[in-house]
Amino acid sequence: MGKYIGKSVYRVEDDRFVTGKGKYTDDIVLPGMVYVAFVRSPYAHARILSIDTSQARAAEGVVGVFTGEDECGQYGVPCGWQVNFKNGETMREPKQPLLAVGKVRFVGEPVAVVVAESLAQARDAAELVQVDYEELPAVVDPKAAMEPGAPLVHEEFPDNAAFDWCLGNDRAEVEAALANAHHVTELHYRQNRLTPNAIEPRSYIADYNAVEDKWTLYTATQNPHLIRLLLCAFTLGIPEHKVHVVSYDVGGGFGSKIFHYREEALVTWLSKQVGRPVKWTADRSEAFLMDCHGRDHVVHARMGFDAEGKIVAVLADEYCNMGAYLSTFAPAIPTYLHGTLFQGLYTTPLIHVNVVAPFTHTTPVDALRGAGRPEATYLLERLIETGAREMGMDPVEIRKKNFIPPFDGVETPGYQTQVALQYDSGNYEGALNKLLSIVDYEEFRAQQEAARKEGRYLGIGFSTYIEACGIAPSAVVGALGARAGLYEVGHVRVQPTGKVSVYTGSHSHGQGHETTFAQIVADMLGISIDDVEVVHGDTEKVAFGMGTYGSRSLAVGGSAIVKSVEKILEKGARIAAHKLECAVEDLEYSEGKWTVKGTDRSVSFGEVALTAYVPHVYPQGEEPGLDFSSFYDPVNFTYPFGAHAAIVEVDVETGKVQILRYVAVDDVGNVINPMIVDGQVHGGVVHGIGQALLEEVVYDSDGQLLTGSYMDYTMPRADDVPFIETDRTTTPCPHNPLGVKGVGEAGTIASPAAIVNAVVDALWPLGVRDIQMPLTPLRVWQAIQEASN
Amino acid sequence: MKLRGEGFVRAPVERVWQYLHDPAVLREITPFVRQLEQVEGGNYTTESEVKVGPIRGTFRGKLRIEDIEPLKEFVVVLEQGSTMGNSTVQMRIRLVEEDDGTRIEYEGDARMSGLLARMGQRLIGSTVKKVAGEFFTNLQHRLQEDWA
Repeated sequence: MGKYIGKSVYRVEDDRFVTGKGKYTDDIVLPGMVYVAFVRSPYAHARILSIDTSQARAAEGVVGVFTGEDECGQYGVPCGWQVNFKNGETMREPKQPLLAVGKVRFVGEPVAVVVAESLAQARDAAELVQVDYEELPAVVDPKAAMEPGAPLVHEEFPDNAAFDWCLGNDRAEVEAALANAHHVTELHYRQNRLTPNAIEPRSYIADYNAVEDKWTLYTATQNPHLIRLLLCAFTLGIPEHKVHVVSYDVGGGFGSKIFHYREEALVTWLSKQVGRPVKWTADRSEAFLMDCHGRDHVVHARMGFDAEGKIVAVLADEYCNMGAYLSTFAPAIPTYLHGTLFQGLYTTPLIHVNVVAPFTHTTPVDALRGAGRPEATYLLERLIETGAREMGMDPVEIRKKNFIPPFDGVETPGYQTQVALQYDSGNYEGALNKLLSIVDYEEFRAQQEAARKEGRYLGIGFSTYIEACGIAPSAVVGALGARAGLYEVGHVRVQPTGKVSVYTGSHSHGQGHETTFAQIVADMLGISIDDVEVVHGDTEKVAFGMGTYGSRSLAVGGSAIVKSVEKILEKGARIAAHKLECAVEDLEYSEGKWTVKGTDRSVSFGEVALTAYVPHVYPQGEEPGLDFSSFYDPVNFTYPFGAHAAIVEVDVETGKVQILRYVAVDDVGNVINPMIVDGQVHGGVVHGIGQALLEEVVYDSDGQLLTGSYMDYTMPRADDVPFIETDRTTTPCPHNPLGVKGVGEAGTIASPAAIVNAVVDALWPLGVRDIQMPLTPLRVWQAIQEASN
Repeated sequence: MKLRGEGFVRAPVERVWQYLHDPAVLREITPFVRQLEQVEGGNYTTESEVKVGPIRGTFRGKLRIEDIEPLKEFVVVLEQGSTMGNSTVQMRIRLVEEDDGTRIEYEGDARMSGLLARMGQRLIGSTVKKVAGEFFTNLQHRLQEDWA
């Protein structure tokens, strides 16, 4: 299209990031600011008998001490998505008060808050708050939570289910197909529970200004406007125009900074109470306890095949942990972002998924990079490869037999799945073929054979995935229970000098919006990228927006910007035509100027911009100015897909898994900045390596979090990660103007299944059939021992 | 979490038993303990100042001695609270007479909550061993000082 799109333009934001000049919420110090420390529950489940704050109140520097008995205990943070029971019963939605009232339901739940002149004083005084608890029995496992007699998390409900939901074909029909199948593969496993680990902890500063009767909330969030809406309309009941939300640089989120948390609402409430700016920044321990966790499904999955290896049915029964309360998007994750992906890339005619979502005495569980889709991919890709091996078929061949044939969504229609979605465009075998050519599959099988003779165990695992991104068409998600629309806003303001400010409602927490969006605008206008500034993260600069999650920024946010630039070009052409004294139809626009076709008469973008603001010679009836805002509501999700392969070596003496090669072929539609896309794939794959090999949140039976520090929760490090080889195929999205699909989650979605498949492939001759993630050396070693006995 | 270990002091069982039931002695020889006051019978209040790796702070609580079989064994139940979380330790202590002294065996379990559970769980096994070692050494010294 021009000189920027499709090029690896260096990220403009990196200058400030790598030189330590990024501006994060915790960097902000306001005059008169006070600090907050929380008193948190040490128990997973307990009755609060009494709270004595007298000593804390008397401590040096203390401005105030508040508990759930104060006004703030009446407010609760809302849930943004309603998923009802399959029998029609309404989702059970407990109140999540800003501070615990009467009972605590997970370790870390805030019980009291101390506000003081300094952070040290706040923390010291928090230690003086005496809370008397009566400890009660807790339940942490989602399946155990549904057994009769399990401790109730919320006494007002008859059992612990938030909902019991299903999707797909009639269950009896699916069961019958499995009963008649030539072969049925069955897996029981736990999708390990993960914690998000953004490098910047959550941080909030609320500043109430009594003169204007108005708050400024500085917050480390992925979606400032959504936070304003939830905070004002649902949590505190304050007028939305009275809160200005500002979110400067944000150091990672992975989903955890989508959600509207209690601390955020509480500092806002506190600021008016104490009449001072109030700051809270989580320490790492609080991040482990309070940032919503991800995954945690207990799964029983079955896949039936005919004699040729064609899939005849998929059936899954899952218990998906909600934690103690329903976080902002929690109910949508294991349902409409999970069950809807069970078609995968395959022509499976019969699919049924049942999800029971219990409350437990654990940290709330919500979206974590991929959110529901890694879990779906893992389920399908483990089943199909296990099925292939059980039937003595090749895992590549069995996929090719089952792939949905190519379709572009234009000449050939989108693919209607059995589970509600309609895929936009895809060429699944194309991606796998490209992967195979890079991997040299046959050569590897020969190597593997040779290595086994030397007692070395190599394995290859594949994962061919699809995801639903570009979240989301408002009407569709509304019908599925979303309580918000999921369009995006793009506002483009041409300044009189021809410089361009772009205001986007999507928000970068590391994705490089300031570069990617500038590339698009610069190319469309034919101007230098240095003349384009991208502004985000401020509700008073950006008219509205829904933020960044679900790989939506480019597909939805980028499309909104395109709409505004198109409006600018249309109006600019009318101004140019007036200046050149010709008809609009006689003009063509390229390289930053309008030219009368077939002549050398032209007027530049800069001249038109100046004319729009200094309209001395101007088309009659045309408004001055060159400034447009657009809302873009996508007509469908986008469906990126791809094929990944992991090649591993397993040390059968120690159980240590080493990833020798990792190859990712992704199809994310058109690519604006290949370097940023590669970076997202790299980060996503590393995230998935963490889930597959290292990471797991562990609670003991009392509900105590045992993995509450990096001594016990293992993040991937450089020596756990191989060189990641990336390549792409390109199947444009047919329904957005950029033809883009989104890439933020692809690596995380594909990689766990590829790695586990590779390890099982390596150990299959030893009798190993399945290993529970994370595949730590101990678990792998145990699986080998069990198989040999 | 299960705890188990033993120590040895060169003193007769009667003397060891007496010392193990004297709050003043225990306060002096037990690492971290700052205060140990008898409330009545086998009930005490305690306060200790702990510094083990990331675990630092003041622990306050109750100590109860029960199931006493004189000169042989008894059970200590220690419930302590702090801002880092709470802990309950139940420990059976057995004295075994040997030729040149007394073997002291301990066996029990510890439950922890809050930050203690998150950070302390992995430390407690080695910490208890270390603390017990210091305790037995201190006890030996005290016995030698008093009876040498």
